[in-house]
Amino acid sequence: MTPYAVRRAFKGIVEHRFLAVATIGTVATVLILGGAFLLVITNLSGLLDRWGQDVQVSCYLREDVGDEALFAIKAEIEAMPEVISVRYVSQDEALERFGEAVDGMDRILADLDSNPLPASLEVRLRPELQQPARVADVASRLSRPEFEDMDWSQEWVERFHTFLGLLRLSALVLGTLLLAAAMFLVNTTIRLAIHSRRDELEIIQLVGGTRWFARTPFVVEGMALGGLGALVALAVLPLLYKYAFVQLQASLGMLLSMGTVEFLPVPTLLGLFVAGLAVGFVGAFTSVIRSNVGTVS
Amino acid sequence: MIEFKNVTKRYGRFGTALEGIDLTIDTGQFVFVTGSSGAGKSTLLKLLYAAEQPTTGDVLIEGRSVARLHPRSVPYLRRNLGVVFQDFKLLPQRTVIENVALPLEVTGTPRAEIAARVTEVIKQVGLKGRGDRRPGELSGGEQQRVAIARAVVGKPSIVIADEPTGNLDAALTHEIFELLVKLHEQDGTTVLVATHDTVELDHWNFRRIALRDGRLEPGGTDSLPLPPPAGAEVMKAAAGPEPEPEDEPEDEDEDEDEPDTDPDADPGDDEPDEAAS
Ligand SMILES: Nc1ncnc2c1ncn2[C@@H]1O[C@H](COP(=O)(O)OP(=O)(O)O)[C@@H](O)[C@H]1O
Ligand SMILES: [Mg+2]
Repeated sequence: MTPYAVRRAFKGIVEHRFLAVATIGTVATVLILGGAFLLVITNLSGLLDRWGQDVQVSCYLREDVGDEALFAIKAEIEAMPEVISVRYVSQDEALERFGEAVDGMDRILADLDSNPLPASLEVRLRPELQQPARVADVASRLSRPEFEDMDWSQEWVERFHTFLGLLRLSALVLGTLLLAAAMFLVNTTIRLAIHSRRDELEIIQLVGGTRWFARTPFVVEGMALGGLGALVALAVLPLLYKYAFVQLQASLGMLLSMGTVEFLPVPTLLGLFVAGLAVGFVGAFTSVIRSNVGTVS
Repeated sequence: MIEFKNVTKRYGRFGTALEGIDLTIDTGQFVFVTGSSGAGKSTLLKLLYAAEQPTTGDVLIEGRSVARLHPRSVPYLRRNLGVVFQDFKLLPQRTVIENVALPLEVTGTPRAEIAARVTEVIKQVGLKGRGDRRPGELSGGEQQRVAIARAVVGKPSIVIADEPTGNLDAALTHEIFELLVKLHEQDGTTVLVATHDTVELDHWNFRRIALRDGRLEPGGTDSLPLPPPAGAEVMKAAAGPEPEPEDEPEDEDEDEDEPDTDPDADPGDDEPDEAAS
């Protein structure tokens, strides 16, 4: 990458600045969409991890279980090595929690004649029991005739896993398509640049410029377009995070019991920048090869 | 030394641009290539800078075949050649300095060295103070000076000019020829100039290669040396007349001086700007 190539590349961008701005904008848009997707996926994955660490089995009690039997069962379960703690949640407490979790629900519940929610034992398991199979195994040993029903958060986690997998896959497919579209636009922009500089290319050949002397400025130009697009995306993503994601979290967070929404980690941001450069490089390189730039007539 | 060995060039299947050309040009010679439009002048020069390849025969520079050069080696050949065209072929968006610097940019010459050499050459061609102008802000004669500066900036051993004054009036034409001759004398560069400007041809006593319909013809000084017309500058001592057919090119440097009265089958061509190609 000679200084000449760099100078020529940036001059090229200025020469057809409108097309250049459109191309930079497209690359930026693609990377912003990709970044937003990554933001969602990273945060949902984080959520998954936090849920996964907090494996809890709820054992819903039959209505006819007496206090004595209840204490016996609680003590028995607490003694199991997989269990960290057992907590009794009364019918009233369950109702109260449900009312808190959803806005306005408390007033609806206040109108009810009787409490429809069962009392339960909430059993917290050790965090190393994150694999769904092991949770199921422990749960089966927890099982008692006094329990009407059981459920454990791991089931949710599992379903969420599947959902997240689908989300990742669609992000991958969509991201690839968008990147391909951006690459195609860079390719077209560079092809037009090559076309408008035919005379110059002819002269370069006449004065003894090699193929790569003729080609490198176009490749650098493509990379500059991609890189600038990436920089725009990296400037916009924090704003998007601040004004859209954090807002969204503020209104939905309690319902979803999410933690704080995190911004993208540095390696991901670097990855986006490299993706921009790569889009520019591949778009320009293919254009230069196809147009046969610098090949002696 | 430049050698054409039984060179034939056909474009497509029919048009024969050059036929049976045998020619030797010694290092440091100044040579005119004459002939009317379509005679094959440009083709002859293009074979030299490898813009075209001969259909048969071979073209050699310093014993190396230009005709069989790999396309990737062509740039390196051209760095040792300076080419000047009728239409200048300057970059309109770039300054004089940038235009002249291009042959040095392609070789990766350090910037300071480029600046020094470009300044020197611009002064040599008489464009001092015009370095920051763009070609559009210069007269035709000045533009051609820029092109000549670009051709010689890399100190090539051969300079090729294809009707360099075809777009210029008589006064400017003479200035350009004087410049080419000056550079030739200063650096001992081999110079080939295609022209059919009879005034200039009569003025200078250099060897002429005359083409007609793609063949060397006896109109050239190679075959019919005559005493120079009055007023012509005698650049080199005249040798004895030695008529010879066009395929006998061995000893051109001795008898290259006399322009003859019937030079290139284009007698009515007093207008230098009706050059074709
Ligand atoms: N690229 C080409 N394709 C086909 N014919 C050509 C081409 N270039 C030149 N010719 C033909 O070759 C002959 C010689 O052309 P040229 O070398 O340009 O002559 P000059 O420069 O003396 O005018 C002419 O008949 C011309 O029409
Ligand atoms: Mg011509």
